[in-house]
Amino acid sequence: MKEERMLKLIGQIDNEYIMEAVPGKKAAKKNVWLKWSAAAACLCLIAITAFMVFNWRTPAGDSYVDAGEGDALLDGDPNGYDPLPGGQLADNTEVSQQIPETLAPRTEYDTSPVYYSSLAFADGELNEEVLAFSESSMMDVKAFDEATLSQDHCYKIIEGTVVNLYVKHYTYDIYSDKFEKNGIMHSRTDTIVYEIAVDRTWYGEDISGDTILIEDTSYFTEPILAVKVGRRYVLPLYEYGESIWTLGHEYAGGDITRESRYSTIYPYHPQIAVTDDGSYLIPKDWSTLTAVNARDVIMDTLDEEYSYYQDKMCLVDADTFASQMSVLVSRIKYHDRYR
Amino acid sequence: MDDKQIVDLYWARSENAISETSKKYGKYCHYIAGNILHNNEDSEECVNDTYLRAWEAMPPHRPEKLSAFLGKIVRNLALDRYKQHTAKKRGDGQVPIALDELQDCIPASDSATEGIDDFILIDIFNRFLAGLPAEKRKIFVRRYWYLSPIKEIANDYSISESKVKVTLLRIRNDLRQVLEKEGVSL
Repeated sequence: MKEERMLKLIGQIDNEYIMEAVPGKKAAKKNVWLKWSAAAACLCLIAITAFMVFNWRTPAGDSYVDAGEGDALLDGDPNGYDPLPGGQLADNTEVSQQIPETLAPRTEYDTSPVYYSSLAFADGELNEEVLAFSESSMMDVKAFDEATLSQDHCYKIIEGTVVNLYVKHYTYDIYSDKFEKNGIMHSRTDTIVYEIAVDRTWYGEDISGDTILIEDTSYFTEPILAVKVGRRYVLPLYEYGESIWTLGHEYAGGDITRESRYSTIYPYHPQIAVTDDGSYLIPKDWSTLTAVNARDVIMDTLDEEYSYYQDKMCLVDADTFASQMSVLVSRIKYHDRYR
Repeated sequence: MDDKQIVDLYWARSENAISETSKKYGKYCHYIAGNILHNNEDSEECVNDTYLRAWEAMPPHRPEKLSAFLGKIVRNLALDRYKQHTAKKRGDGQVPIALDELQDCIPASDSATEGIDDFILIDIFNRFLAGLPAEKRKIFVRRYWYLSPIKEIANDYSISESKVKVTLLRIRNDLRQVLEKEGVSL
């Protein structure tokens, strides 16, 4: 029968596809989970204090950051996922001797630097209103690290294409004693709203296929690295709430209902962007995601004003990204569990 | 022991080759045979036959990926055995369900080329798989190469069973369109 022939011939596909889908990866993932749980248990016994165990910046936290790289490089298996899937040459010299060579053999991972200008992204659009956004929201913020994900109660990490991007204006009143007792102060706040067609959920309940809104009170405005309509990004989200915050003042009227309950966890640095060939352009402050097989990206197109990011971006291939993201997600889950 | 050392044992005609193979890849081979045959005794025989075939094939072969090499042998042997056992009646396991699903990929019979060569079809499969995102490709290969149950795939990739089913349905439809475009009739 035709379908029997098809099933039989699928058996002769390239080895790299067979290897990349090897079953039992979840079992390995569990082992890493157990390893971390065991490590945490040991720390509990040794350190006694809850501070030592649950604070991200304790020695436990340090080993947390390093282990992704160590795990992957030492045993070649970060969290049970092969960090080099397809890294071997396709094996066509076996029993069938019939499989045509259809793909160029892959070489070892190239970790040499790459120019930003050589990367291909989907066409992206910005508008002047969005670019001008930061002027009303400049402030000092602490540096990002992956601990922020747990501290800010990461709700989801999604990947998708931005299909719309606009500024929303709020005008509302609050009670304030600034000028007179129980006076009413007229206020305005702007937010930036992203509409995203989600096609992958890295963490949290799966919403792949949904189009969602994300609303941020800040925006990374460097034109090269800013989030643009038409491009793909990976965004960590938290639940902001139904209404904009009135910073401790009592609400006295006007529109404070947000477009979206969700915000980006750290909108102050470049978001993770996906290239046309499925690689990920990532700021290095994502330490786990950039721990293995990362290529430095030379930002040869940045304005001088934003030269801070000149040497702080790198490129990671899709398979490594997936592996390292699974490591990161298991850590978020770990910290959520013991929060 | 790494794959190269095991292959060297075969080339040296050392009997340890089979025990080392069994130690490292026995479980893997059993998994593949078990999904197809759904019977421990048959699976065990199939896996033992696989070691024998490997012994006969090395030398002259020197596979770079021993697991895929063994996997292909055990999968072929298990499918042959499945066919013998179910000449009159389809058996248990994932094969009958997977065969039903694969009917979605069969192009309409009025396509140009009847009885297309195996090599060309395998080449089309490989090119099709190369164009799929890695996650989708893994789901497809788990289902139709490893014959893994839907529930197990969903569990391993932390997605819902319905998501696995929808993904597979879309891939099958896409594959059928590719085959139709290439003028293929099975």
